[in-house]
Amino acid sequence: MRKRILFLILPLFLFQLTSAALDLELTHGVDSAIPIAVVPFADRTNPLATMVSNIISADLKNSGQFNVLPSYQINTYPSTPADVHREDWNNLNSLVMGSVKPISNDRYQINFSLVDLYKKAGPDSVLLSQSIEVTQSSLRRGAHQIADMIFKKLTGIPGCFNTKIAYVLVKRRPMQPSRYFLMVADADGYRPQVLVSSSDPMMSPAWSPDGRHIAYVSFENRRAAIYILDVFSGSRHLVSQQTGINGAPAFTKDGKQLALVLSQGDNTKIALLDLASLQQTPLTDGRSIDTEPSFSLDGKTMLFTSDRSGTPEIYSFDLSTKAIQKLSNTGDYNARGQLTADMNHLVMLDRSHGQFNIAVQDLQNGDVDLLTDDGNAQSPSVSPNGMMVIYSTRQNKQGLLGLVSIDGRAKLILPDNEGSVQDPAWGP
Amino acid sequence: MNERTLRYRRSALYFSGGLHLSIILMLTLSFNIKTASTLPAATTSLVSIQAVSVNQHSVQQEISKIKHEQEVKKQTEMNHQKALKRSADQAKQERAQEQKQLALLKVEAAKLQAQKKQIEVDAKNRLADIKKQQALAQNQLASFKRQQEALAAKPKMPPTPNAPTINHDAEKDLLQKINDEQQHLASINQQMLQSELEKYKSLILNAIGRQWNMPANVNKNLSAQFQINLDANGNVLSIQLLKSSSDAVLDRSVQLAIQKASPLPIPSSPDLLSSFKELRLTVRPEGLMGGAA
Repeated sequence: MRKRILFLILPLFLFQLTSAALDLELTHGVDSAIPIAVVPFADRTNPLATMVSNIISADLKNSGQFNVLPSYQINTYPSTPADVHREDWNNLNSLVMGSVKPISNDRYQINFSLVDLYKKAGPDSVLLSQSIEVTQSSLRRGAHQIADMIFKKLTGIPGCFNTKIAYVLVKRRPMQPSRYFLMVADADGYRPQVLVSSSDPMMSPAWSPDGRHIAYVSFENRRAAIYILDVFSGSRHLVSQQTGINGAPAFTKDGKQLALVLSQGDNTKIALLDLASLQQTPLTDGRSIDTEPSFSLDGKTMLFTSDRSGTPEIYSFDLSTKAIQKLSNTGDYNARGQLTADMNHLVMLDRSHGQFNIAVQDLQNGDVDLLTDDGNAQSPSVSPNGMMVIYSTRQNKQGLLGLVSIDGRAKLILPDNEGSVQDPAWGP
Repeated sequence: MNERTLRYRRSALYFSGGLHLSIILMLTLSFNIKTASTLPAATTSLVSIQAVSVNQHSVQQEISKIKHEQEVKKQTEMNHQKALKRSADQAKQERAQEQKQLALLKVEAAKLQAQKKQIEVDAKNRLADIKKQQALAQNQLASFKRQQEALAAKPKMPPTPNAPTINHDAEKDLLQKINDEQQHLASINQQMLQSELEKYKSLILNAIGRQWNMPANVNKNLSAQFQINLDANGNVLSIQLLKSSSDAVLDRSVQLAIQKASPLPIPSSPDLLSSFKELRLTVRPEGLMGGAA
C-alpha cells in the first residue's frame, strides 16, 4: 500500500508538448516604400549612360512605391549580377545595374539587370536581365521602358513611366496678345512638342484610349467648339459647335463615342456623341449643371460633376441601368472625379475652407485623404495604372504642373516652361 | 707781356667763347624748333588719319562683342541662379518630406515598443499567478503527504468489526485527493508552458509583420502558407512555400519579410525550444499594423 501511494507521487513535470509544426497566422503588415538602389550605369564617363540610370532612378522614386538610395551613398559600381557583393548593400531589397554601349553611329544597346539582394547570389537572385536597342533620340524612352519593367516586377502593377501627357501652354507677353499652345510631352515633362498653336484659348484636352487622338475645346471661331486632333499626322476635324457651351470632352473606353457637355438653357447637360455618325444621345437631364464626364476602365460607369444636390459633387452613372449615385460627400465642393484602374479609389478636386486640393476617396470604406496641401490645385488627371496623379497648380502667379503618387508619398513639381501651363491630361 | 695785354687777351677769349657758344646754341635750337614744328606734325597727321578710321570700326565691333558676351554671361548667370534655386527648393522639399517620414517612423516605433512592453507585462503577470497557484498546490500536496505518513505511522489497532472499513474509506479518500492534486498541478504546468508558447508566437508574428511590406492594391482574400525551419538560435534555415497565394508578388513579399526578421525571437528553455524548430505560417493580407485597414 505504501509503495502504491509513493509510486503515485511521481515527478510532476512529466508533460512535454509534442512537437508537430507550430501554427502561426499573419494578417497585418506595413505599407512602406521598397528600399532599392540604382547603380549608375557603365560606363560612368558617358553622360548618356548616367542619363539612363538617372531616369530609372527618378521614375521609381517619383512613383512613391520605392525608397531609392541617393547616388552619393553609392561607392561601388557593379554593372552585372556577377560583380555584386552583398555585404556592400545593406537594408536594400533589390539592386538595379546596367550599361549603355554604342553599337553604330546612332544606335545604342542598353543592358540592365534587377537582382534580389535577399536571395543568395546565383541565377535565382536575378529577377530581370535584358537588353534593348535604341537610337540616340529614343534613349529616354528606353530608360522609361526599363523603369516600367522593374516597377511591374517588384509591385505586380504595370508601370506608367513610358507614357505621354498633354496640356495647354499659355504665353503672355506685356502689350501683346497671349498665344495658346496644345502640347504633348513625356510623362516626366521632358521633350515637349507643340501640336497646335493659336491666338485663341484652347482647353480640356482628352486622350483617346489608343493614344492616337486628342479631343479638345477651341475658341478660335469666337465660340466654343470641340475638335479631334490626330496626334501623329496633325490633321483635325470639328465634331461639335452648337450654340453655347461645347466642353469637357471624354472618349469612351472603346474610342467610338465622345461624351461632351452642352448647354441647355441656364444649365449644362452631358451627351454622348457617336463619332462615326455624329449622332447625339442625351445622357443626363434635369435642372442642374452637369459637367466633367469621365469613364471607368471597364467602360461600364461614367463619373460626372453635378450641382443637383445644391453644391457640386461627384456622381456615378451606370451606362447600362442609367442609375445615378452620389459618390462624394466631404468638403463643400467636389469636382473632376476619376476612378483609378482598380476601380477602388476616386480621385477628385476637393474644396474646403476655400482651399482647392486633390483628394483620394477609398470607395470601400469611405476614407478620404488629401494628396496636396498648397490649396491651389486644379484639374487632376490619373495615370493609366492608377498610381500617380498629374494636376495643375500656381506658384508666383505662374501655372505649373505637379505630380503626386496615389499614396501621397512622392511629390514633384515639373520644370517650368516659358509660360503658364494648365489642363494636364495623362495619356494611355 | 704786361698785365694790360693779359687782361685784354682774357677778355677777348671770353668774348670769343661766348660768341661761339651762342652761335652753337642758336643753331641747335633752330634745328630743334625746325624738327618739332615740321616732322612730328607730319607723322601725327598721317597716324591720326589712319588711327581714326581703324579704331572707330574695330571699337564698334569690340563694343558690340563685349555687350553680347556680357549678355550671354548675364543669361548663364541667371540660368545658373535659377537652377540653383530649383535644386535648393527641391532639396528643401525632400528634406521636409524626410522629416515628416522620420516623425511618422518615430511614432510607429514608440507604438510598437509600447505594444511589446504590454505583451511582456501580461505574460509576466500570468506566469506569477500560475507560480502562486503551483506553490499553493505544492503546499497542499505536502500537507496531504504528511497526513498520509502520519496515518501510516499510527500503531495498528486490533481489528474490530467496524474499524477496518472506516480506515479503508479514509485511505481511499486521501488517495483520491492526492490524485486530483497531481492532475491540477500538471495542468497548471501545462498552462505555464502554453502561455510562454503564446508569448513567443506573438513576438514572432510581430517581428515578421514589422518587416512585411504589403504589396499595393493586393487582393485581401488571398492566402498563402509557408513552412519555416529554425535553428536553436532562431535563425531561419529554410523557407518553403507550401501553398502559393497565386500572386507571385505577394508570395515574394512574405518570404522577404521572414528573411529580414531572422533571427526570430524564440524561447531558450529546452522544453519549448523543440516546438519552435518548425513553423507553419498562414498569411492573409487583411490590413496594416497599428489598426489602420
